[in-house]
Amino acid sequence: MATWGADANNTRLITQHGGALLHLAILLTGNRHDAEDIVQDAVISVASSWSRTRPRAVFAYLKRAVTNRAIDYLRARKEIPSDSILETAVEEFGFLRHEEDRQFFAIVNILPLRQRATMILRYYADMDDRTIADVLGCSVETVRSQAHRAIAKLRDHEDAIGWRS
Amino acid sequence: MTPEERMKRLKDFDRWTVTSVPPREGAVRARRLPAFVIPTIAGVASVALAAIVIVGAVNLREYRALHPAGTATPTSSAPSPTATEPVITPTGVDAPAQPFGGSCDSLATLSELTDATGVPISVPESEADADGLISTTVNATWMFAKRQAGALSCSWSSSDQNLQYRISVTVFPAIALASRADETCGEVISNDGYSGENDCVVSRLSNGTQLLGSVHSPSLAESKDLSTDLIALFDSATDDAEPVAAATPDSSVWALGNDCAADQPATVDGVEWTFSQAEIGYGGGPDEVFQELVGSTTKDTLYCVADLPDRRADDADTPVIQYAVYGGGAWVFDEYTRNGASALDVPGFDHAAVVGADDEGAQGFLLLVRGKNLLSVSLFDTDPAPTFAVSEAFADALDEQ
Repeated sequence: MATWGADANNTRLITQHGGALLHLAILLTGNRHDAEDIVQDAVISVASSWSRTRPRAVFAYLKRAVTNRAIDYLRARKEIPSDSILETAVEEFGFLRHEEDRQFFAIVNILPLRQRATMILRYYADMDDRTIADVLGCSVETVRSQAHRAIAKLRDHEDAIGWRS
Repeated sequence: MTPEERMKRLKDFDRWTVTSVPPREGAVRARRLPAFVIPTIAGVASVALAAIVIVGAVNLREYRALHPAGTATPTSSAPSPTATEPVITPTGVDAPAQPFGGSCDSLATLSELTDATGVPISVPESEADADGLISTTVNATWMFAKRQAGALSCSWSSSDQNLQYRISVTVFPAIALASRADETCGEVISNDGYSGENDCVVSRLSNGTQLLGSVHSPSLAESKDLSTDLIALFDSATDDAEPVAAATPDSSVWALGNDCAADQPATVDGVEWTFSQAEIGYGGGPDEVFQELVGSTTKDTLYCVADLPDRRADDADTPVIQYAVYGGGAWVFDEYTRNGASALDVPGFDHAAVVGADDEGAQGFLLLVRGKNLLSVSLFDTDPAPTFAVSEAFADALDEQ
């Protein structure tokens, strides 16, 4: 059985892209330890065919693989974010250095899964709407609609905590 | 600073306290999804999450009184319930017949697959209902098109997921698909980030029934052997079964013309929208197979979208409204409403109900049936006016046919 670190491709991929992928997985799952597993799982999968994949495409594949696994994970967990996350954000989200980022992440976590994923994939992972539509299995227009709703909700929450005046 | 800018700012590594993934001995091995005919991520999600919005029976006038155009209400996009009796009546339109009577067991039993793989095989829980359109999003045009073509989707996997045996197939009544090699192994790079190594894509036409599917196992050699076994099981099953004729539209099915602009526009508050055809998303999988299937199976569907008038000019994303016309798709209404939704009274249509919105942000839809056909129109937030404008415009267009 292949183990972590046994394959040079794994090591190279994790060195090059591990940090960004970990951040993506954390944003999607809200959980550092599960995010690490998700990234490792994705890297092992993609590394096995790396030699047949265009180098430029590797990071895109990895982002897709991490995203797919993270969303599967969330659906399996069926976690329903609640407003209480806001109250504990500063203590729990220590993987973000600044309190303002932690508060923002707590607000993002309140969004429904599809809206949250759309925001993260679009503005953090730089995926285009067509790719997001494929990942989420919906139309491009639905992606736009979800983004619109998510941004509106985020603005409402930001208003509530006085970030926008 | 906007929410978009705050999100983009997180790309800065300096804003994180963790910046690398620690190596871990004995890490989790890749758990591969099948590279073919996997329900889309949204499809799978919808299996678990789609909820029927239960509404009271209200007529259009009541609905508009509750939700005047342009008036945002704070929460649900569904009409408020009123205390009247449920009035959903079945459309009486049957879903197209499927091969093997809709039974995956008739294609291959769990014991047969267990024998073929040498490991216990079961139906993945998340995919047990994958073939039921009711469980998918209303705007899943691809899922509708497959089912409308009479497709039967079956998935199996090793009971222990770490063993990595996965079989996913779609069986169609013989529809016109270009000839494909019976078996392609180890060459598929799917577009969803999975390599496809050790995967075999299987295509087989036997006794008027088409099998398309994929097999994954821990090794390419095992996948090839399993593909051979799968084809043998399929051949045997089709020998014993009467072929199912592909569904064909009759004269009562709307003539669509594949032209969104011709069927609309709709007008709200004096503003006219122009609809255009939307792309159909089908999720991951080998592009060349799915594109062909989409082309073969969506000819009786029309999926249109339009931007609404400029409501929030400072938003990068203007609201959109979308509608889909499913020729012969009235049976979808029965599936979506059988769990308790109640009817709306919409002039020009035989049946109408609001479905779809759930706590994961799924968009609600107004489902409308006339004859054998289904029209679904998205609900835009809390403003029902665009939805009903589209519905009325469509009813007018049908009356003029």
